Amino acid sequence: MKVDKIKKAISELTPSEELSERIMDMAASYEKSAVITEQPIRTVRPGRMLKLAAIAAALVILMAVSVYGIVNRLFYLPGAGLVDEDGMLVIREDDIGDLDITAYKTPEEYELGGFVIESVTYTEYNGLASFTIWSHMGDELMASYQKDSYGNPKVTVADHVIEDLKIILPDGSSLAPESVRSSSSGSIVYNFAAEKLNTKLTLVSEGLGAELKVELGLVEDVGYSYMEYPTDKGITLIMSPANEEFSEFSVDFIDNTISDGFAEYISESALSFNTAGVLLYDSNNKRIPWSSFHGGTKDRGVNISIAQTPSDNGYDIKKASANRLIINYFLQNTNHGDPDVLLDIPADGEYICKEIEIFTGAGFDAKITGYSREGNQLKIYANGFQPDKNDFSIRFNYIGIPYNGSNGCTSAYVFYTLSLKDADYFSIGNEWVQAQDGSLCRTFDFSKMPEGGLDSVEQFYLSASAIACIFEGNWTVNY
Amino acid sequence: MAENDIIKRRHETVERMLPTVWRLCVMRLAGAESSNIEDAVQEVFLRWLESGRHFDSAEHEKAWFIRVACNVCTDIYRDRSRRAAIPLEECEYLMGSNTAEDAASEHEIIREVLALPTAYRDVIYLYCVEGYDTNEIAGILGRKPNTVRRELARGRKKLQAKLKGEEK
Repeated sequence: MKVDKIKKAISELTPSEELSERIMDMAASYEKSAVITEQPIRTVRPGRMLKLAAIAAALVILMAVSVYGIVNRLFYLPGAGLVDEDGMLVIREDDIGDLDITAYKTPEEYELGGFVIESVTYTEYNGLASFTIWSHMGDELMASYQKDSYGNPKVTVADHVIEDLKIILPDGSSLAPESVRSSSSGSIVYNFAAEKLNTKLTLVSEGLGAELKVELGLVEDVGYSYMEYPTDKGITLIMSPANEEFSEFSVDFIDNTISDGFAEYISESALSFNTAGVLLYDSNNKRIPWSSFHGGTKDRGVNISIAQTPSDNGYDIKKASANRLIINYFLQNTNHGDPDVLLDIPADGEYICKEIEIFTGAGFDAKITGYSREGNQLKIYANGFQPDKNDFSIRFNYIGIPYNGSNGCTSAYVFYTLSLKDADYFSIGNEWVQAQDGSLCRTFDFSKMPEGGLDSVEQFYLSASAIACIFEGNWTVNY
Repeated sequence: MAENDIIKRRHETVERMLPTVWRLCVMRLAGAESSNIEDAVQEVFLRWLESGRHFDSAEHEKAWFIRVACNVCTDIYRDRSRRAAIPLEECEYLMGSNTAEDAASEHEIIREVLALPTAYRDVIYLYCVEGYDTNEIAGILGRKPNTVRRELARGRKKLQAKLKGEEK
């Protein structure tokens, strides 16, 4: 698919005359001094920030406790911290940020699963700028010419356009760029249109001096390398060396067309990774310590950086393996939104017995079977309305979330949030709840209560804000 | 600056940026009621007017409008009642202005682009139409360049497969 065809098609989309006129009128009549400027809608509202922070903190706990294999015995209690089954405080919430999850032990060796990975071929150009072949895009080869940041500032990007650049294909034929575009960021992109460029190429130009030999490492005709886990379940684990100067691995997701719908629930702040489960090896099969971990998002992936050491000059890592991934499917901001239901606040002491579906998708079936109120506490129940039976376990037991396991999770959690309608954003209670069967009950306390307590509120939202899955397995990437 | 000059400059900015903002909002909100897309476009320009912003360069101006348009569309997208509800074939605003023979194939391209996941759509639009390179797109969208490159490659591959009828 040629760039020009896409550009031509999309450029046909034009706003209506009426809209143009309206905006022109608005621009003409707008007077800043005469307008009371409304507070712009913030992308991240305070309430959402609070939820995000709570989810992030809870995820740290999940990651930590799962390494120990004690996920069934510790619980995150908003406002308190990490508590055990008896409600005893194990770690104060204020201390959660200090948890050093990397200190936990992990098995030293894993069996090889074996997949090839290769991402980018780099070629240095010894001049003011570096010449980078970074990718093979469908039927085009993209070559980027980066201005050296230490180069002469008077040298413009345009000065670096290689007018006579050509690629020589193995059969001897040559291709000139179909188009050359320079950009203000200091790169020049050459588009070479060809059906198959998954091969060894030679770039030639008098300006370049020596011929540049470029080998495009291609796997399955895709142009980049990756491993998929599980290949038919809609989630793809990519571990790729992403930078030649320091080794960096990323874990990304692909929304596979044959997906069971899992990946579409991942949103931009949705990803966590149990770093203790990632092991890196050099060409002698010796472990290489990594030095830092950058929390991930769907867009940015998870990155693990490795310090520059003699054993790791950026090229020496030959194998990476992982045994555990914890992925938080943050349901807000995805196509599916923040699944919620609006319910009436029961009278004090009232029990409402009613099956209500909160979220169904990606193999989850999160539903409640009733809810009740005691004073300023709300409780929700699942898998049977048996409040008497569950009185002993009000705070620390689970809401059952039948899970069919089709997406490879070995265990799963749902982050439920209760928020009071028409109250401010701080009237939020939330809980991570482990997915499992059983007759269960969960109590939600609110971080801030309206002055008149629950009596002053008529309705509340129950939403599934996030789902966390723990994937376990042996993934190994060789390259 | 005289009032007429201010209005003239504003009109020039609207003329320059309206097509870009419109297309980006369509890309982001395709399938929504046209009134929602128009709301988004107006909101972008309202934010610009409210900000009283002057730009150092055309690149800065364009990048600002694109970033704000993305934010506004995200806000609208969060409101479920304003999300895509109309089949793409029935969206009048996707018909384009081309009435020539190749219009059908162009509509097909538009439809298939809009059927891609949002992340791919953004990248393809900014790359193919607005002419940004992947490093710039990464900066605008707050993603990693490598991620953008992958999305671009996969998006185009998907698009190509669909348009060739190869995808199963």
